[in-house]
Amino acid sequence: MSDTKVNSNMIEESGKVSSGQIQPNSISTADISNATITNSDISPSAAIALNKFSLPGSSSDFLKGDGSFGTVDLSAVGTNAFNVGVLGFKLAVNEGLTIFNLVDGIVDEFNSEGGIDTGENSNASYESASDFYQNLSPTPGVAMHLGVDAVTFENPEHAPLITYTSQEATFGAFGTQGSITFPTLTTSIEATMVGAGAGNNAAGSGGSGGSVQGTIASPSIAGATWDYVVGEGGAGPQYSTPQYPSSDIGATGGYGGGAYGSTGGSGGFTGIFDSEVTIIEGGTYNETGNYHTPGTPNNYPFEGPGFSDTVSPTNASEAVLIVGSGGAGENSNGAPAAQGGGGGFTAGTNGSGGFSVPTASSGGSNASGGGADQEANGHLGAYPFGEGSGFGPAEWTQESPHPDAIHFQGGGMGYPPYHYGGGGSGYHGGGGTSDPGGYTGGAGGGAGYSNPTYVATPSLEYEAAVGSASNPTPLSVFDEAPYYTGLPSPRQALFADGARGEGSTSGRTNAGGDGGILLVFDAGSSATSMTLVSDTFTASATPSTSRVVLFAEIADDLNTDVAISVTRDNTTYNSVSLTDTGYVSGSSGIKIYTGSTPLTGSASPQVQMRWKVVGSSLTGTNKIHGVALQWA
Amino acid sequence: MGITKLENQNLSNDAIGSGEINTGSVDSSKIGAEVKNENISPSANISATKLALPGPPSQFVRGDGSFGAIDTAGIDENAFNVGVLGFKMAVNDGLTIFNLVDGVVDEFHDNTGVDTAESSNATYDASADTFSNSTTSMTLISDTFTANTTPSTARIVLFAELPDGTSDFTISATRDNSTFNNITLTDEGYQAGSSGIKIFSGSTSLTGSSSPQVQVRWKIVGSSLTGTNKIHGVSLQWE
Repeated sequence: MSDTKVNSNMIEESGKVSSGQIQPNSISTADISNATITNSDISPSAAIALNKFSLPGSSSDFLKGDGSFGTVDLSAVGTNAFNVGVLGFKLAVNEGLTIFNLVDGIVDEFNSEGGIDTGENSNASYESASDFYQNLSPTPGVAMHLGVDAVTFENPEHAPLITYTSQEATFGAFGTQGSITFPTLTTSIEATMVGAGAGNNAAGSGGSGGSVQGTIASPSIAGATWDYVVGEGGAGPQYSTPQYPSSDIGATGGYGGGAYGSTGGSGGFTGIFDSEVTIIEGGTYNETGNYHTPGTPNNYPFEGPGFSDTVSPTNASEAVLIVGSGGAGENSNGAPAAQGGGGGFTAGTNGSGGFSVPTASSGGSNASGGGADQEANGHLGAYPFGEGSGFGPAEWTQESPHPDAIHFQGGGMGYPPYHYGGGGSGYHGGGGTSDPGGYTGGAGGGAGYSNPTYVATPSLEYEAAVGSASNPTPLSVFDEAPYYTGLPSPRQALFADGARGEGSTSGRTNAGGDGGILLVFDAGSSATSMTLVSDTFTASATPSTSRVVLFAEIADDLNTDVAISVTRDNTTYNSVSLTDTGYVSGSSGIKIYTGSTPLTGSASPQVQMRWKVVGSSLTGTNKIHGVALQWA
Repeated sequence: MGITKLENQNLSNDAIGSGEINTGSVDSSKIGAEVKNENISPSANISATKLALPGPPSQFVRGDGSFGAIDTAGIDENAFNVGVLGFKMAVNDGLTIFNLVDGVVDEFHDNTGVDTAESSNATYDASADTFSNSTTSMTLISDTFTANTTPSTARIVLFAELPDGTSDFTISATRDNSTFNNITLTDEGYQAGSSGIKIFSGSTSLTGSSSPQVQVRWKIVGSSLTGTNKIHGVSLQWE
């Protein structure tokens, strides 16, 4: 029987199936034997697309040599780069470096504004003392008056911008100085100051306080807390505390080192200090040098020099600007009325009645106290200042910085009836009077001081002290100095009558006028928005990625209220989502925020690198301390 | 006469269709080196295990088909050197312990970064900024630092003078304040010159499973000590 099926033998060589005889796509996967295609079956030029493979890994996985998939852990690349920024910032802070370059990056801790485009900023206030920017809008011209026991603002709405405590000056009880914490925007202050006026006796008038105006300028003012003392007017005996038995003795001086006098106390100095000062409680020494705070009245108040609450002499080095107070008038016992010397800035004036100092036994009328100057206390009246140690002639003439030098008080009453005291207080005090033979002159006025670290001499304006025999009418220098009369009326009004350093007119019941300080400076309040943008840094090649480390104290919401972005073309800014990685050190203060972003800007050239911090809807104060920017 | 042998001319075009091919009848032997990309279904889903991948898992497939490791050694070196630079800066500028991104640097300018209560026989020298063993054993352990996320690895740089060598010391780190993972240190040489403080570096996986796993600490334990071993500082980083 013949074959019924075609077999291989039945196919001629010419009978082999050619491609054209196979239907297109007729060989399906089902026709191919499973697991039979091998490498040799695949064309050397197959170029099989990757999407033909089963690639179950994620986009962050790679094909390993054994066919498995896994990640390549490169996370430390970013961490290392961020930590280079952290170390760069620490280095810059500790060594006071201005902005410096990295390889493909910069570090700026804002040691200066050299890396910032200040022209494009808004509401980004630079604090050079602490090297940071914050969202503040300036409030220029804040004017505040510091009185003996009150603080008054020209514009009451400015009061919340300033942190301060008012001085409390109290006769017979321990007073306290005032303090101001200046806003971080404040680096310059225009200060107008008047010392306190003195009390009097029945005949002679008290000297008026001195005055001065000057500009206090220093970056260190920003954010600093300074103390101040406003001199209180000297009192007559009937205002004294305690009240002594005789109406002729025991007049207490005003707060601020006003000297106790026999029948009139001097005014206290007025001054500003660059840190916290120590207040010495007022009182008197007795004959043996022991010091007594006011207590039970005696016929004489312990028969030694006395002064009211004042600043420790050791605070002299902290003085910024001081003005002296007036010395007390005294009883001339038939001689021409003895006027107190006026306080001043460069010098207080002598009390009337002559200055050529007699001896204790010589008698005569030359028994007035001398005015102080910026170098020395004023000469005392004839009789020694006191009998005990610590307040005698040697200490009175001892100059600072000797630890025994006497500052911030006037020459006080000592060993009555011979020394009647009442010298005006100041950086150096005016001399007290004496009564060697029944003729008592006026006391000398105190003098002031300016610290050259803060006050440039050309900025100072002042009038010569008034008072004493040369000008017996007790005036306030306030009425003469053009810088007072030139004040806008609202600021003039801050110096109330009775608080313009007036010397007291004759009459035992009259007290000298208090002193005062007017400060005018720029403050700032938190702004609700802020833009802080860097200069442009040129990359050496077009970068595709940027890493940022931000060093900041963020009070508002990160990445929403406070956001940072980076550009490579100075046009398109790519947002960087920051991560809070903790504090620079410890558990408070500056935090480290890190983040990165692709850079997509397409404007030409694409090598113009900048960072930008934008704040919006801000409610707190956000401080930006530095930025480390790197690109790759 | 009937066809005794099939000649090509006897087959019409398209004569052989799918129906004429038996399932599975086409195998490798039937296919020359002809399979091309277009022959393969877009949904072929060819498993990577079908590829000839003789390389180890530490290597990856390169673009040219060869195998090779990705050199990440520099990452570790950079991380260690961040610690070295931080230590140098802290020494030169008199800095107390400070933070890095995911790390700390402590040159023992004071002992605030050390848990002195848990440490034992570790005498602090404030003038030299060192801790040293007061007896033949010593335990020096840091305070706890809080990581932002659970770390899986710790890198440490130890700055020390170890006359007893590293073999008498066990250095470890924890992420859960419970399980301390030992770190094998490598002697990287002197910090400067050929004497004085040496730099030792090492890393470990962190495996502690107590909660929370963000309590990072380092611990140095010395035993059988015969000399005075001085620990000058530690830089600890985690990720």
